[in-house]
Order: sequence, then structure tokens, then C-alpha cells
Amino acid sequence: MSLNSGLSQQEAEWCASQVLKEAELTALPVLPIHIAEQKHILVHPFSSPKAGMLGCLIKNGEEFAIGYANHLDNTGFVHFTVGHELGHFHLPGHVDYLFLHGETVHYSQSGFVSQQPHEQQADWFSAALLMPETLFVPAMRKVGPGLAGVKALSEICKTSLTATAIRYGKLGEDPVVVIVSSDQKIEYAFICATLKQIPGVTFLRNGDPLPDGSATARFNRDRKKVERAAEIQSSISLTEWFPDPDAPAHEMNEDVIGLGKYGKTLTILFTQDEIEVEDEDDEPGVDQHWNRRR
Amino acid sequence: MANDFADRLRKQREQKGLSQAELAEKAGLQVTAISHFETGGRSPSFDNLRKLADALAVTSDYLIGRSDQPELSAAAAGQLFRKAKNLSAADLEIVEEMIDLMAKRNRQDES
Repeated sequence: MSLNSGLSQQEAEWCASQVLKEAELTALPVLPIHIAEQKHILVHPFSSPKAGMLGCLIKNGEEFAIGYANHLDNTGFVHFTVGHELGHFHLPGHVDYLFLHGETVHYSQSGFVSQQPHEQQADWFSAALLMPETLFVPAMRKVGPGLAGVKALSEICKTSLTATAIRYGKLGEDPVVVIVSSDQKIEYAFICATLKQIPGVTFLRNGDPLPDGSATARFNRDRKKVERAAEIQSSISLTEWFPDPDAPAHEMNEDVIGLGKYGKTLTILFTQDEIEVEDEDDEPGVDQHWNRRR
Repeated sequence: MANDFADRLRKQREQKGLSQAELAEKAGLQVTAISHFETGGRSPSFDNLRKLADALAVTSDYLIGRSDQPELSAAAAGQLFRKAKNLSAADLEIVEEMIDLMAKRNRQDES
């Protein structure tokens, strides 16, 4: 099984659900430090964080410890990092990856930034642990769409805006794209399954320039907006972000927020309307509609 | 690790006179998981490893082939990390701090 597959995500979801079941956790927020304590895993902040590394898992004999960087002063980041390290501890097959060559400490770059399949699986585990589908979906239905909904869910789950937005995109019913950017470039993006079915909606790659006409590009020109976590709401055609000739010119909401000390910007593109796509293989005038995954 | 683990798990279980079902019960795991581990069809997690090591009274490092000694002496436990590869000075500082905290917690647990 490729770790970078749907099966890998399913395994992470299943494994996280088993951990929650064992810990008898049935309400939000899920606090990963409590789960670690139940497993007799020490959790402690780094006193001297290693550049770029947000967390680590240490094995000493039969004992484990999780270290986390708290220089961002963000509870959501800490929770996601600890959840990620708990993923390495609970997921099958991570033993070899972490300590194959005799290492005792494993540093992680959690937060959906790593391309390494085990790191990605630990990210999916952390998201599923902190925002389990059975609890997250009912909460999501009570809050509004877009950034306002994500902020409300982030408060409920005690998770970072970015991780919450990606979970909202994954489990929600509306077509959603979540983009993290800095300056005028995309750092990474999540496109929900519904949108991936739409012709012309292709990948947004790391390093791709932000569309000139986007609210995100305008927002990022003022560094202070990012630092003080300013917000803007705008709208934009899907074709601005996906300039493929097959992409439909559907008007999307573009909610943007600065991520403060993290130094990056979170953008949520979403719509609650049906996206109409003309299908050349169908009879003339017959459109296909996308807006609901299930 | 896979072959070492499968072989060592089966040998240790047999040496202790346990059936797969008895080991599963002792470790709090499914009997099918023990079977899959022993045939090499499934890889364990650290959580699984720790439960199995505890149930068999051996170290997890022995089970995964990182050590040839089934039992770990108390003196060796604290020294292992210092011999570990790929530890820079900064790594060592973090690891030492965390291991000191683990030892302190253990002393509190025991008192």
C-alpha cells in the first residue's frame, strides 16, 4: 500500500478513532496532551527549538516523550503537533521510518507541509484525532460557511485555523479550496474531492504565483495585515485561480486571514451554489452540476 | 525490522509458554493482530510494541532487532540515547532535557 494514498488516510482515520475509543473521548475539544498522559508519554516544550521543526518524538528504552515548539504561542499549533507525534506512536509501520538507523529522536514538520508519506499520514491522524468526523460534522452544520465557520470550529476544537480549514474542506459538503501562501506565492493548497471532479480544477503547486486579481495577492502586499491577523472577504472567478480553459467561470467567495506570528496567509475559496459545467460529451445544452459530495 | 520482529515475537511467546490468544489477552491486543505480526503481514506501532514488550517482559528494542539483549538494565537505559546516531549537539541538549524530565517523573511515580 502506498502511504500516499486514500488507504493511508483511511488507516489514519481508523487508527485515530481507535485511540479516541480507548481514551473514551466523546466530546470536543479533544486534548492530545491528555491522551499522551494516559499513555504515560511525557509532553514538554522545547527549550531550544530546532529551526523549522515543530515537534519531536523521543524513545528511551520503553519510555516516550513528545517535545513541541511553542514559539508561535498558538494552542492550535501545539495541539496539532502533539497529535502528529501521537500519530507516529500509534500508526503501524512508523517504527522503521522513525528509528530504523538507531536514532532516538525523531523531528517532525507537522502541519501538511511535508511531502514525506509517513509525515503526511501523521498529519491526517492528527486531524482525525482532534477533529473526529463523528463530532466535527455535527459541529460544522451548526456554524456558517467559509472563514467565519472555520474560526468558530477552531474555537470549539482548539485547533489551528489552517488545520481546521483543511478538515472543513475534507468533511464539508461545499466545494472548498484551502490555500496557505506567503508573499506572492502559494506554499500549499488543499482542494476538496468535489472540486477535483470539475474539469480544469487542477493542482495548485508549491511556489506557484498567486493570481494577480485575487484578494489574497492584494492582502499579502501589506505585511502588517498578515502580522496583525487582519481579514478580508471578497469574491473571484474560479478561473482566476485555475486558468485552465476547461475550468468553469464560477464566482467563488474568497475569505482571507493573516496567520500572525506564523507569517503566512490562509485563504478559503468556497461556494454554496451549484457549479455548472458544460460537458462536451453530453447533449448540447445539458449541463452537469456539482455541489454535493454525498 | 519486519523479519526480526516476527521471529523474535514468536520465539519469545513460545519460550514463555503462551498461545497467541493468551499473549493477545495479556497485551490487550486482538489475537488476529498477534497472528499477523508473527507472519510478517502487519507492522506494529510503537503502542503495540510497548504492550507486547511489557507482556513478554522483554524490551521493545529487542523485539524489533535493535538490541540482542532481551532485558534492559536500568543503567543501560539512560545511556542508550548517548550512543544513538545522528545526534547533533542541539539534538543531544533537547534529548537530555527530556530524558531528565522522564527520570524525574518516574521518581515521583515511585515515591
